[in-house]
Amino acid sequence: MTPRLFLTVLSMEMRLAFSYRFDFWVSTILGFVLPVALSLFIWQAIFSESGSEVIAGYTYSGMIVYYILVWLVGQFVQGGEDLTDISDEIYDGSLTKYILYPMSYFLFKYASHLSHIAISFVQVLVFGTLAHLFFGILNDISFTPAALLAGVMALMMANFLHFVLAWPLEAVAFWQDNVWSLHAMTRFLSYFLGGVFVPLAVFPEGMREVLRWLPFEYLYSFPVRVITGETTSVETLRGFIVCAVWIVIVGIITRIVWARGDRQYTGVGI
Amino acid sequence: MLLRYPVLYLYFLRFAFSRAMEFRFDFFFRIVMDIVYYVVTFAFFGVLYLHTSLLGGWTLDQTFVFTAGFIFCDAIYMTVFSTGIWHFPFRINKGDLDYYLVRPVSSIFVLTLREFAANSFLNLLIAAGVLVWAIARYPDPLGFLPVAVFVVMVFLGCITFSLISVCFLIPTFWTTGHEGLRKLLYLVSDFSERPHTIYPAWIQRIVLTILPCALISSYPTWILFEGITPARIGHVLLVFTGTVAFTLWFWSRGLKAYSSASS
Repeated sequence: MTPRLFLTVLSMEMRLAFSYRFDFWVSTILGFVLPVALSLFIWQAIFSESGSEVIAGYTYSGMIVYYILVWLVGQFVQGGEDLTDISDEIYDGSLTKYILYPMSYFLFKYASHLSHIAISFVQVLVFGTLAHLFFGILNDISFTPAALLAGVMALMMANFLHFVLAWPLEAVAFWQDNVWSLHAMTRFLSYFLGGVFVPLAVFPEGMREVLRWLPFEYLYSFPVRVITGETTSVETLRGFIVCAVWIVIVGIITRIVWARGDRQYTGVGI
Repeated sequence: MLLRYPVLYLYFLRFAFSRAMEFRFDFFFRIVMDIVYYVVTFAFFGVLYLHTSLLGGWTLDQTFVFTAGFIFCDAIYMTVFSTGIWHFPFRINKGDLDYYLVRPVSSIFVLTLREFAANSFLNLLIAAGVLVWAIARYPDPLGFLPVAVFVVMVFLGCITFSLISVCFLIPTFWTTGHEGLRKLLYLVSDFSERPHTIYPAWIQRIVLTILPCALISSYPTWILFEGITPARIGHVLLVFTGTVAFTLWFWSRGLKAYSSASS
């Protein structure tokens, strides 16, 4: 796939997303306000009822910053779309046309995925600015060029890991007529074990040690901690390595599953 | 006259089970998915209670009863209502609603109840088991009557939530897209997954009346532990009746705007 074609796909998908303005703004405004507010109500109750000023290293204002940042990171990682169109294309047989195109299906889908990230960038810019004005989320973050570079890299790796993780699940569609339950299951797990529902610091230490070796942390919690400068250079490097290893492992699994599914695919849909 | 509705529903169940048996892997995936969801939901509260002894005035045992009530309600919703409600906006957009409007039974009854998700039925049994477990492990005796009232209220809460879901999607009669409405519904319904006692007073008023998400499990749990009074039961019945009346009125308004295929 040439860079020009990549950009064309990207711009096409962006125009498509902006064509449904009501959907876009509902998911943007309420999709930001409600989940963050819901998490903060819980922590407000916990701080008030436990009488503690600091819980798992977070003050209440630290929690606010964490939840806002994890939401912003989530927009970059997920890009507001769930990638289930791959299984739909297997079901209705429209995968055939992509196989015939002189380009990689994987790269085509990644360009489409990145176009959603470009939309998310607008959301992050708007809400990041508002969140800073109201809560001063950037006040405690010291942006050194190295931390900024590491943060950008953590985000890019998280985004790619999220994209790659969806593929073996989507490829199950070659054999089964429904994969959404697999996606839903992965989403529950990654939100809980990745630090979206609660910061991972509130988990017991033994469990946190296990989580460090699983891929979920590197989707949400790790990029936030790198951006806020909470990780040491050794932790950052180890995080990059674990994340890269997971990308390779899932990539190999995807390749095997996809190749077997491809042999199974008849092009007429299920 | 009214007897035909239960008979019709039995036919829906029969079709649903024979259809579910054709897709055994989906059957299996759904069970695993829901078990993961149950575990994550309980673990979420378990982790929070490592840092506090009370949440919204509730102990961990009370929150487990609330969570089990919510899970039970969710399982009923997923099994009985969700598939029909999921397809409902598509039927409006494609004009498939015609097929339901010409039938000599209530269109909203058929649309919401026709597609019984037999592949979620086992999850409903598991969720019922979780509810029994959460009530049985509660350290103090709760009494038969309060528990019975709690279960009935969770049922009513589930129907109320299903009607809210329909209300959120009825604007599809006037708009072309429905994804935004659906997302809005999901976001609002998240408020039912936490005890309503953690919210500020003005949000509590909203989730107990206009958007009665708290009636699903939080308010029934609150009544279970705070005591049954006529005023509290009256509140649930009033909100339930109001939601039914509003849904039927809104539905009839939507039908007036329906112009058959590709509306």
